[in-house]
Amino acid sequence: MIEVIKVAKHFETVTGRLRRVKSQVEALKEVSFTAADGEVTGLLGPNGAGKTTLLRILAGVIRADSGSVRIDGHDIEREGAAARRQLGLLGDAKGLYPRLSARENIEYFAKLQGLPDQLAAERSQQLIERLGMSKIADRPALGFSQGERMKTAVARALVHDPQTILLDEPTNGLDILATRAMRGLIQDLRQSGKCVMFSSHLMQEVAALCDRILIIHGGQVVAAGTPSDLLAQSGCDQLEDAFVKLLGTEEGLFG
Amino acid sequence: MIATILTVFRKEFTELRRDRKSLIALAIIIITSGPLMIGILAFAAHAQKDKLSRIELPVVNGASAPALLAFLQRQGVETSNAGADYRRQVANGELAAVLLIPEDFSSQIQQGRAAGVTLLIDSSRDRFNPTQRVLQRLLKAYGEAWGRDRLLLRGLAPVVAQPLEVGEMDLATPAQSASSAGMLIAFYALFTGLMGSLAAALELTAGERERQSLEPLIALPVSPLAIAAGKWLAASAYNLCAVVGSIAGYYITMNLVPLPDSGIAFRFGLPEAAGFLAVLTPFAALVPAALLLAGSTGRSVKEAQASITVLLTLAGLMPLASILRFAKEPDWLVWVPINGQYLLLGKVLRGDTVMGTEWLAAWLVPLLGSILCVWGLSQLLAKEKLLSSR
Repeated sequence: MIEVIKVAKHFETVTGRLRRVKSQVEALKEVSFTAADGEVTGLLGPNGAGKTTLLRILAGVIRADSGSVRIDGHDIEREGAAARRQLGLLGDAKGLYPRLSARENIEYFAKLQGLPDQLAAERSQQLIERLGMSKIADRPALGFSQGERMKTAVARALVHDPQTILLDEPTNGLDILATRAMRGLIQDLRQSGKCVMFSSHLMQEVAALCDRILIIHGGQVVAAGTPSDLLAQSGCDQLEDAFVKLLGTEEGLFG
Repeated sequence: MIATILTVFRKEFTELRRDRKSLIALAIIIITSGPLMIGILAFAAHAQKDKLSRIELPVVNGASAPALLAFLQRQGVETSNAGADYRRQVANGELAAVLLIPEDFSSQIQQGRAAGVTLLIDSSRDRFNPTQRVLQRLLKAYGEAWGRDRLLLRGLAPVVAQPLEVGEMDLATPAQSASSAGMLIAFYALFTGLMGSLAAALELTAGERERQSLEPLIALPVSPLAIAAGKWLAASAYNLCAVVGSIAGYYITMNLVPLPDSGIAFRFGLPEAAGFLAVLTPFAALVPAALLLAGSTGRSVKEAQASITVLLTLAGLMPLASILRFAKEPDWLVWVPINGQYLLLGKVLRGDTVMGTEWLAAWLVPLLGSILCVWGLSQLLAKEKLLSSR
């Protein structure tokens, strides 16, 4: 379960070579929401809306300026280790270690999560089978395709059986088969009672998978609710139309 | 914490071990800085010695001074008649020296005057300097012997004309004079310790960031300090392999390869190898710590290379201060990283005793430096500004 209360974050950007001019960018302005266990929460928003920043704050990779984040009751700032143990993160950065095999990549994260060697090996094997990676499991990650890299990164994020799972555009760059497999995995995770939150650009994906949708734009939550709530709020028949209407502007998509 | 450090260490070392390109680069560094360098040094010394054992001296108008030529020949100098363009040959560096004897040499002698001979040299030709010194010494000795004979003929003791006798006593033992050549070896041993972990440090910091694998790593419930320590241990182990490899290279080249006789009593036996290892082991851990810290200041490998280049340039300049020294090194120099190591390696090679405080400096300074750098690395690893951003 994720509880977010009034989280705000700004970044400083510096321009100019000799005269350094600082300016501030408001990435998130007091965002609040709750994502429940056994549900899939979709994070929807145009490019630059703050989706990745929000997921990074939830994972404790960067710190919020104000507000609080609780993962399964643990504050990400004050009880960082406990909160992180409940978290599985497939972030924007999905880099693997090229000279390690898929299995070694997964087991490395399992061991860093504190799993004993035996359990780390068992869990890795289970995920390798579940994600259909047996053929590539012992090959170095250097020559992996986009889909193989994504599978390895997902397995790495799930190896310690986390209760809360954050996925940043998990189907980005995947082919149809791999996308279907990923959607199947997300549904399985929901059925086993996990709290899954994922960000996406793809309307159909969000419509097909999500129990609840959170639309953010310009660093703020502009709408939240079930898909039918959003349709009712906007008075549209299609989720895509509802999305555009709720953003308030068509240009927002490229803003 | 310790389990995490060991996990990170094992994984990083495995990855470094599997990087073929870096391993080949490392092997090249070890071979060039060790065996090849000693080989070149031995051949150069051998050639120098060869040059001194056979000195050729073209003479102009040699017939005027047969006794002088006979003296020089007895001393092993091969005299010959100088060609017409001897000036050009000396200026071009084809001849070490030419002896000019004036036409009126014998008549001057007969009249009891001092006869002038000229040794034509070009002192800017460094490689001829030892030969030129030998010739000057021989000519001076000839003149002095002659003067003594004249005094004796007049019934005077030669000491009358030589109230001050200048003797020379060289305090450098054979081992000590050989060590000036050995200082080059010390320099290259340090060089291996500096360069051995360069690729590894870039790979473990900026490489990790550029590959986008750092963010998932710091989202784990592990402390950045443990990650930093594990990375440092892996880079240090890698660097230590390079240093051990180069010391083994020196040992094998000096003891097992038949080098030409260089005439300098230079030894690199087991005691010297052990001394080198004792001085360079802590150093081999300090360098990667500093390189990792410098490497983690950049968002990409390219940015990190800029900081590392500055660091290595400064580090490379430090032993120069010792090489070009004009006075004896102050005692505190042993507490300065790089210069301290250089000083101690020199002592080991000269066979001097390294004192307790010097060993303390050689271990304590790198240890504290490493701890500081690893702490700094842990602070930089998780720094928001430096996180991968596309």
